[in-house]
Amino acid sequence: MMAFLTALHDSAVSTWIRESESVWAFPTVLTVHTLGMMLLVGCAWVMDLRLLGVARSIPIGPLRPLFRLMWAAFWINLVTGVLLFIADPERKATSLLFGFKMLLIIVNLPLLRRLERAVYGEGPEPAAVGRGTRQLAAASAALWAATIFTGRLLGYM
Amino acid sequence: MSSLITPGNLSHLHLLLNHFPTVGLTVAFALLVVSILSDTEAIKGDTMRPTALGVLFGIAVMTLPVFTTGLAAEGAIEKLPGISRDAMSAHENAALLAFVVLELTGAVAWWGLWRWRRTHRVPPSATILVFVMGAVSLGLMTVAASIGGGIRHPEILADPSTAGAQSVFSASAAAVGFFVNGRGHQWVWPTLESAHFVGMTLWFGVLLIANLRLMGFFTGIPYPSLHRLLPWALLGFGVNEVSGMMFYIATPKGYTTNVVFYWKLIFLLIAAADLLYLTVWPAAWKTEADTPTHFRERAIGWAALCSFVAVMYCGRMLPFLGNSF
Repeated sequence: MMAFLTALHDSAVSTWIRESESVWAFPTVLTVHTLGMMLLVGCAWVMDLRLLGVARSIPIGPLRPLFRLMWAAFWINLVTGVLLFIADPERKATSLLFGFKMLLIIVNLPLLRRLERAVYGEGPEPAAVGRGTRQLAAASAALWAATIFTGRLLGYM
Repeated sequence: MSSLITPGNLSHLHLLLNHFPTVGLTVAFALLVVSILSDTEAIKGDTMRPTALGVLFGIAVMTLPVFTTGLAAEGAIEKLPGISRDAMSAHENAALLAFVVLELTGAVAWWGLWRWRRTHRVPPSATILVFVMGAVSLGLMTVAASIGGGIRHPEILADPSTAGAQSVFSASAAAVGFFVNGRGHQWVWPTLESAHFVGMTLWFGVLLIANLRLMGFFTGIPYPSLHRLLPWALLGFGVNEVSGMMFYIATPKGYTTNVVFYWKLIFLLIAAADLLYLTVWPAAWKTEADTPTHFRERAIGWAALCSFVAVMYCGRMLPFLGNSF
């Protein structure tokens, strides 16, 4: 495993992202990762706030495209996240903080799916927002906040 | 534009912008007083009162570059002969206090405007609060400006050596610096960074969907229902202003000579203007479900969204593009 990580670390892609002086290397990958975060979590806040009872006059049905935006942003961040991992594989793979961040995301993704299905899964009209949906929204929002914190802290490890 | 970031220009910029919180605040306050004293309903409710609040919000936003260029000007002139360091740090501390009170006044003024758009009436509590806080801001700003004038004109200070004693909250800027960067405070900077990111996603998410509706997306949603979310955008801005200013006050040299930081400020002013637009724009408020949108709103929306991304881009790229850290 360690040998693989070392080989990854020494690969051309990893070296370029990590060591290139070009602004298109590490800085741009990191900025696109931030852009994806802004879009993913920004849309998630709006959806979760509405489901938690803020601005109840917003009809829930037309909000559905927010989920498509969130998934698009998620894929952007998966790609840029993998690139950031490749740039620094040995330290990331052995970091408890990094593992914790991955855990938060792995728990949150099925929550996001379940939330989408709970609200929009039953026919053309959105389902009434029940207690279960509100709990899902609150849990998902808390996990996003925790993910941002751990992600941000990774920059200081 | 990098070539414009010279010590002389930074001082000049501060001298140009510093009229917003002093002169501008006087004008906004006068408008507010007239709207309170007037017995004409139109002046009270529909025109002058909201105008006063809008101008106050604008002044509060414009004071952000005033404060930041102030620290840049300090770095630019502190080594010059005849400059009183005491007067300079007294000015900074007085300005910080005035800045904090003015920003809070701006937030209350915004809340009054937001309520006015919803109910066609500024709540009396908002008017009273803005009046009191505006008067306090004006007083504090006058003190700050007066001490500031003494930095280059010692002849107007009664006794330049006592300038430091004029500030009640002397050393407040240094206290912020110690809190953020001091020994044993290693947790503070990363925590503030995390809060800065959470605040950013909050204001971005809310302003994104509000602008998208006016650009012709999410047509099933009546705009007035999205208007309810706007206070959350202000909350996000607030979190980011507090965390951002703490970075800035603690480490001004990381920003003052970096051109990327000034770009960020410019795009931030556009983002704040967009919040004001989303709060009061009449055509926006009339956008019901399935109301088609106008080219004008689509153009404003695209400009705003590009500015939001630019704010993030300039902030994220600060360590890479310029000479910040």
